[in-house]
Amino acid sequence: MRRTSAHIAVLSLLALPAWGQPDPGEALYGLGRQLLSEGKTAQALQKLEESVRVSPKGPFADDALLAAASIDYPPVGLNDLGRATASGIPKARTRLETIAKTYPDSSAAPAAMFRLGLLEMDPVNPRASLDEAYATFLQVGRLYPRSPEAAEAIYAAGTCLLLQGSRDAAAGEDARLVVEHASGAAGERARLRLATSAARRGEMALAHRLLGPLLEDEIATTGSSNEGERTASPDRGAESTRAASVVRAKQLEYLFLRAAEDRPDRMGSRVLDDAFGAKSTAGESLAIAVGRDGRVWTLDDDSGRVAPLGGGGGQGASASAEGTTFAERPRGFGFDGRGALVGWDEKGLLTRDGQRLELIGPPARTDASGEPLRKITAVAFGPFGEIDVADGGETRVLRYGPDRALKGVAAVLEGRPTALVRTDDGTDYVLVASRREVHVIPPAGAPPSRRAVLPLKGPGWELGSPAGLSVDPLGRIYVLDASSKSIAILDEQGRRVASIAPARGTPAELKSPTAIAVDAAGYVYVADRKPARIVRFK
Amino acid sequence: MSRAVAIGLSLALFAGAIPGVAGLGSAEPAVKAAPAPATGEGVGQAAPSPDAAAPASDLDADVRLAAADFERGRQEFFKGKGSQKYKQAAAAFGAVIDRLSPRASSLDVPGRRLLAQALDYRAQASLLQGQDASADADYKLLVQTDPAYEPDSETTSRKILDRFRKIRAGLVATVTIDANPPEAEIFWNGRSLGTASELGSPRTVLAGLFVLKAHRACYEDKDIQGTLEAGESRIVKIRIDPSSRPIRFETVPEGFDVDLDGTLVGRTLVSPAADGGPSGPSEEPPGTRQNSGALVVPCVAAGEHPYTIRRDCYKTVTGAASVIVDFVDRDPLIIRVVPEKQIARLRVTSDVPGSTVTFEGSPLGPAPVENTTLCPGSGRLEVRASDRLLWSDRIDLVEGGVRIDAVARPTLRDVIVDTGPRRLAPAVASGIRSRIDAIAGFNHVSGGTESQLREIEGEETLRRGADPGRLDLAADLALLVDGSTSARGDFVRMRLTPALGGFLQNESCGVDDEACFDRFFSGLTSAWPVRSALTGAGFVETLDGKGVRIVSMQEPARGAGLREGDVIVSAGGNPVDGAGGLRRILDETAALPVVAETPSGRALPLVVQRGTVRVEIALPVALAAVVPQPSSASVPAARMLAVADFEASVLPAGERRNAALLTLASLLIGAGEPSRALALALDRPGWSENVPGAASSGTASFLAGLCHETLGERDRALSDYTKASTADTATLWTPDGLPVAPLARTKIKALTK
Repeated sequence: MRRTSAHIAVLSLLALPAWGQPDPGEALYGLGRQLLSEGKTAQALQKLEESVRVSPKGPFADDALLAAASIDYPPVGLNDLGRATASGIPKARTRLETIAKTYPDSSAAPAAMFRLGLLEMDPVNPRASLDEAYATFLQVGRLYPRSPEAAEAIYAAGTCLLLQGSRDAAAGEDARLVVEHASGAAGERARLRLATSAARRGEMALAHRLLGPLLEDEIATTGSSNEGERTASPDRGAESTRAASVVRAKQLEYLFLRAAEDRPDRMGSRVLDDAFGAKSTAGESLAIAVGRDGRVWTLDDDSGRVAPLGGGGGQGASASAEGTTFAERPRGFGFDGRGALVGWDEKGLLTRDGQRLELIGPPARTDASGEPLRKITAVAFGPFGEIDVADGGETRVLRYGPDRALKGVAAVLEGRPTALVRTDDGTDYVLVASRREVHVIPPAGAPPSRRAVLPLKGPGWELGSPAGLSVDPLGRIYVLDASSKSIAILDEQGRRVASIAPARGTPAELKSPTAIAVDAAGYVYVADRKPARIVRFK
Repeated sequence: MSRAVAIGLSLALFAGAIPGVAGLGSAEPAVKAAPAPATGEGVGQAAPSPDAAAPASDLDADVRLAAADFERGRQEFFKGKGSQKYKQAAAAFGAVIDRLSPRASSLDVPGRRLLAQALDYRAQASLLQGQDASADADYKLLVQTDPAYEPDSETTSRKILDRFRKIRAGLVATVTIDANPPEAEIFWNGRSLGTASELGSPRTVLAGLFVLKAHRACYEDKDIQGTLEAGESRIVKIRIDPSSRPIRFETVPEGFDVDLDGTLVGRTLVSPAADGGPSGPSEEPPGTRQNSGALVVPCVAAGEHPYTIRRDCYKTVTGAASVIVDFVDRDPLIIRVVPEKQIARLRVTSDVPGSTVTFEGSPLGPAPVENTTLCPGSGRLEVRASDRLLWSDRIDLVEGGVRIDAVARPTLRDVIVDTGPRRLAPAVASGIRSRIDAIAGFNHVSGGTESQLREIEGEETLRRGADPGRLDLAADLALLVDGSTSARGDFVRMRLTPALGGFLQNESCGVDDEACFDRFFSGLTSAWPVRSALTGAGFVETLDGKGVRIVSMQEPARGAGLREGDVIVSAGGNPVDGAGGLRRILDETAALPVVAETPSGRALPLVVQRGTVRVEIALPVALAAVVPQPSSASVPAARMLAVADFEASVLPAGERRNAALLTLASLLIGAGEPSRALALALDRPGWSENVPGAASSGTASFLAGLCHETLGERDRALSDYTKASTADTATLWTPDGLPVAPLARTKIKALTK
């Protein structure tokens, strides 16, 4: 109905030149677009604004406004969040709201409203509100159900709910998306996300069926069941979104199968992955992380170099050309919202180009300014550039935006945080080794009552010296215990559901484990010393 | 004595007692006529206890047993010997009294008489033993039981007789009932005394309060209450007045239904009284005399009563009966009508020799039917050649003549080919014929069932595009959706259903543009929501354009002869270059026309390479409902909507109709029309329950939940999701699609958070 009226409106506007004067805004709009393509944004902005001014009811006014808003605020999708600057946001908001209100039936309206939602949830926006963003995204789905933005908007609405800790409500939106927009990219991503949440809730039949078409796709296209293909890099091996979804589906399928096999009564059921082998490293690894490309990166204690492990199972492959030796030796590293490698030490973040970026803590008094942090013990990065920091000095967890603006104090702990993991939904998992506890800190938007403290002991088990922490997509917590040289796998309630306890004298035996990481498929990577190596458990 | 003998004897005795009790007040004949039983058994021995002798519920049995006891007592009383004879007689009479007195109010006349006699004799026995008080008590009880009772003067001493009469005089009165009308039934203290005319002379009754009631149908009941003093003799008059009057409906002929005050009261039937009525047959012209009928409605209250007299083929007569209740004239009010007969003459011709004609299921004979007279009215006329329906329509038979030329209904192909001055290219015409027949199964236009030939009303000519040389595909598609033919069968009526408004695109093809028709009909075919689901396909792997290797599989593929490791090189005659291609072939193989019968045992011929040999295998293809996803863009939504709506309209309840409704819903949801999806599909009646898979009603519930949620109706959405959450076999889109129940649970959890 709305589409029909939109068509009528467009047709009548297009018919205007045939009756008389050409639309004066058209030429200015065209000129603005051309300048934009040439990179002359200031001039382009001027022409676009002029186009709207001279022909506010012309057929190009909405397009000109949208193009101008894109200059102020470039993000067009969730992946772009955290990359804009806050300065352009007010102007962009005004332009986008004008389109939504003044030209609701125009072709630009769905895109404008969608971007308005992005702007409202963007962590760089000092006035971001996930509630507002959620409402805006829902409006896109309801007002423009057949627009290309509808599916993305529903997916983004689900993301807003996730970031508010409403995992079940997010699953509800994903379910809608899977049904109503099954064939699009957003539908595929919703499938993956819904499969994960279904698996977390124990709905394994649904979880497997959700993955089905994506798995089938790869069978049909590549016919490969090679284990190595399952963890292939979406960026490296297949650039398309579809291929990335297929790879992700493979990872999840593997994760679901492994999770189903884990049982508390089968301790040590995870075995060393022979296909991966034991990758030797030049020096001891202080930290280990799985990049967004699926590769395992390590921090070499001797050289201070961070590099991905070489592929192909070769020995001593740590000296990859992609590696970075930071100007100052980092204590740890991670990947920011853009996927860029970022190191950190006690006093701040370290960039690959040698910069040190300090993080300012909250002021002690209202009339004072905050002091730079000096005892950082762990840093974790969110998908939209968020930075969560464990401050060992004040035993607390702080949250920062992509622009390192302090968002707030997530939690004050009773012990010194020693490891920090942030999941995609914004939940922080903090290891407090001295108290042998894992603290679960809900996302910023979730009620504080969700916070939980999981003691690292239970009937018949207790970790002596927890040394590392990781979390898989099902929310299961992996804690490396240096004293028993084993890994405990805990469920969301802190119950031990499995453990990795390699027997002595076997190749899997851990001599002196230092770090742990879990990838999207549930493979567990452990950095060991004597000899220095990285092993992977199935 | 055995029980059987005792009962037989009792019956004999009781039978003998009946003539005695028949003559009220004269017990002697019964006593005298009763043969003395030849028995030596003592009274005490023979007398069974009341409880053991007969069930309490069996009154007749009690009376029979009491009669036996009575006879034993009487024998002892009159013929016994010794000083104990009165005592033993009194015991026997006491058994009778004990047995009958608790049920005195239920006893009939002989029973009461028996009880009265037992009381009489026991009182006499008591007196003869010097027990005067006991005797007086029995006499009082006797009078209360039967105020008119008179002891036998021949066997009762004068002294005792006087004593009894003295007691009785203090308890009874005499009443003479004067009732009008004589037919009224009279009740004394609730007990019927019969009709007034049978009452006769004065009656002895118990003194005290009384209620006299008279009743007669169509009269107003009346009660009279009063008190009679002992020894009083009174005449009590009672008169009841009529409150209504009979009406007699007389019709010529008979067989008319009569409604009085809006209610059917009966039908006039032939009766001697009707024929001999006051204005009966003599008014009929000679030779045309018909049976007249009558219906008497006995009691009609005073006032105006509208009536309707009706019968098929006659004009309905209405009027109002004015009933006046006359105390003197009690004859029925007579309403006599001779309704006018109506006749319709029907002439039916057919262009198919040997066809037969039926009207409302009644055969009218072989065509042509010439001037058959029928009652006017509407009904379904059918012309058939053996089992094939040539022509069918609902016609209105009006008074006078109706002529129907039942030209065999044009098939859809006739209509399609008829495009005005230009003609379809032969190849196109041929293609349309086969495809329309296949797609729409429009055989029903010429030989289908009645249910598919409905809703014929009004007339329109075939709608064509602006260019007479072009077929308007949108219009023709509407024909598929709502095709029906006119009463004369010479044009096709079309109507766009609400579901299609706004969706149906005006596409047209040149009459000789075969490629255009190919595109159009291939679109329709691929819109067909039944597709293959190759059960047991298992995993396959592609071999770089050299076929598809079967990695694993289940039944029925294994049963068909496939083995792991086989490489499928061709399917359905088409080379297989990959798994995707194989799936497409499977889908196309299983694609079937809209209303064509689903073939059973459909199989896809495969050629497989097994080692060095090639093997041909027929792979069974299971058909299961598949519903397009809302965002599916492979087929124009308008066509899919049209086909789905058509199917939903014509298919009987079942999986395929469910699939059609779900297709319609899915497309409307995809179009952002949740309210129309609900109205036109999901809320439409006639869903088949217990259909598993993608055409399940559980799937419909889930989609309805989505629609209600979108519309902001949270409670209804929750209700739908709750229903869907129990549909364990329901899936989305394909039989192996997403399971609905866990999805519904997901939504419930999301909504209740």
